[in-house]
Amino acid sequence: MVPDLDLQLGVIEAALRNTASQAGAGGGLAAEQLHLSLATLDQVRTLLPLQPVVARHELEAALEMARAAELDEFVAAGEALLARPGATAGQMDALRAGLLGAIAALVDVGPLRPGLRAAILQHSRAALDIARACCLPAGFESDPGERERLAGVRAALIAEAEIRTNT
Amino acid sequence: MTGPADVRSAPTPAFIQSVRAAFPVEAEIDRVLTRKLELRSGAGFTPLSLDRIVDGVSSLVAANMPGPFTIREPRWLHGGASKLQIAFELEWCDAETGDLCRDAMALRMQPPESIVETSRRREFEVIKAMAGVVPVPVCHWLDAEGEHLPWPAIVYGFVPGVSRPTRAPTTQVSGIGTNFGPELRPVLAEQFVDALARIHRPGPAQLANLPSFDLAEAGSREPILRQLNWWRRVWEEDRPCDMPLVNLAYRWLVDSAPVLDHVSVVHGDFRAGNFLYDEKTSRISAWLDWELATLGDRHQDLCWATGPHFGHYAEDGKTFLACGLLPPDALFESYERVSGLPVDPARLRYFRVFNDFMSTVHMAASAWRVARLGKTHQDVTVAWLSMIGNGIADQLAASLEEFA
Repeated sequence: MVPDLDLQLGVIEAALRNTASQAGAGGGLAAEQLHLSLATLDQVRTLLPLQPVVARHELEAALEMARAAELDEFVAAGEALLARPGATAGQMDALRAGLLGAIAALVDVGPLRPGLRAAILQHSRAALDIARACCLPAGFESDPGERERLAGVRAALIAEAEIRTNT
Repeated sequence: MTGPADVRSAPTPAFIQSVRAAFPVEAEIDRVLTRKLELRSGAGFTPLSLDRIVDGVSSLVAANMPGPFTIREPRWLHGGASKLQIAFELEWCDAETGDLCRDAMALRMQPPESIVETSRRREFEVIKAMAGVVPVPVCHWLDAEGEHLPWPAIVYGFVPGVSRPTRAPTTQVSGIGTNFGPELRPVLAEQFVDALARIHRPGPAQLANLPSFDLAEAGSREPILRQLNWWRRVWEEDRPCDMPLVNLAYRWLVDSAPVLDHVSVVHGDFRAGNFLYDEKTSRISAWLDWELATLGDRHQDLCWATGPHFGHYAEDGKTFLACGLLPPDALFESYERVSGLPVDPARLRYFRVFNDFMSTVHMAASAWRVARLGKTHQDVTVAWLSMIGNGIADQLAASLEEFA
């Protein structure tokens, strides 16, 4: 039987919460690391199902930058990958990494193409919105208005992941 | 995002030479960063017993202090996300008087790698230089190369105090959104601003005692350019994948670098969480964590202290409190009055971008790398903190949009 990842994460979490935390290993550092381990496990359980949706949106943001950079071959490869039904998160991440590397190299070497600067800023922020929404429960967003906005982004990601799972 | 052939996890001599050549930095910073890369493919962090550390401390003390001594009550200190710390009591005999003395001390040792890879030598020097300027621990001994201890370390006097109210929830990572409460805020805020003003006006005696720091001169752009190179080099050394935003920010920062108007000691991490205070008297007892100190522009610290990730909103839900102490505008106004130095809005804007650039490097590159390679004693904390990087990178992009 293929292990159920959600089940395995759940039992680790329970073991840490119910047993390891009672072991009295003591000290503030141990308590903090136990707390963060549990919180990290909880986050992983939530984010695992979102991975394909997140990878897709991050690649789309990178492709927008690539269009502004006129990296036509990367754009064609990215569009083809996004159109392929079986494309995995790993494949999308790998393509995105190469694409971002090519854009970064362009920024370093010379005058920027018209529109590239604006595209990098706009679409970097789009990708960062997704990351911030995924990390929202960590509690690092101090602005109440931003927290509310990012909660909406997070809800949309979860809904999209559920739709993709069911179709 | 990186495969097994990732050169940054096992840097070759050619790679190391290429980053050194591309981004020249201060001599001591170059030594530390080069050492980091040369040791990177070696072992990660392995748990150390207190006995092992006490042996190292004994060796360090014996090399520096004649006569017999005894180390008593060694215990782990909790706090911070980058260094290993223990407290202990040193019993020793005064050779002149024959008296038995007992001093409370602390060891601060780096793990194999940290979110910020810094020099213990520079930290030792700057803490010594700041004695009498602001409350700091008394510096005793330095193990700059890890000859006595597993990794480079300093020993300084133990200073009692807390970095956050003891009633604060234990889940709060030190210095991130610390809520001191409405009564304590104004008392600590006054001391906070006073310390910042004092640090930023170093005298010749302080500046003469910083041999591991490259000099800074008013009228030059060199101090900020070499700091930019420092963090751009670290980005090249540590990043898991490219972020064109970082390259764009670096270009903007180089093109817009201001001329230094006044040479300050810049603490580099001046914020709540990096000072201790006595809960009974509400007096600040020590300023800690000087590892990012440089000679440069005071606006770097002013922006850092007022950054959104170190503060929180007051009870009204509207007023942002820098470091949980006072609103940024009130901090700047008070600082100008106490220091006699102007706060320049244009420089504040510049250093807002600089600090966000630097923090993005810490969180999106170094935190990922050191946790991935298992280099610290609290990788789970490092990985958790790295999530702050998303918001900081967004601020960086927003600032660059605004300042276009």
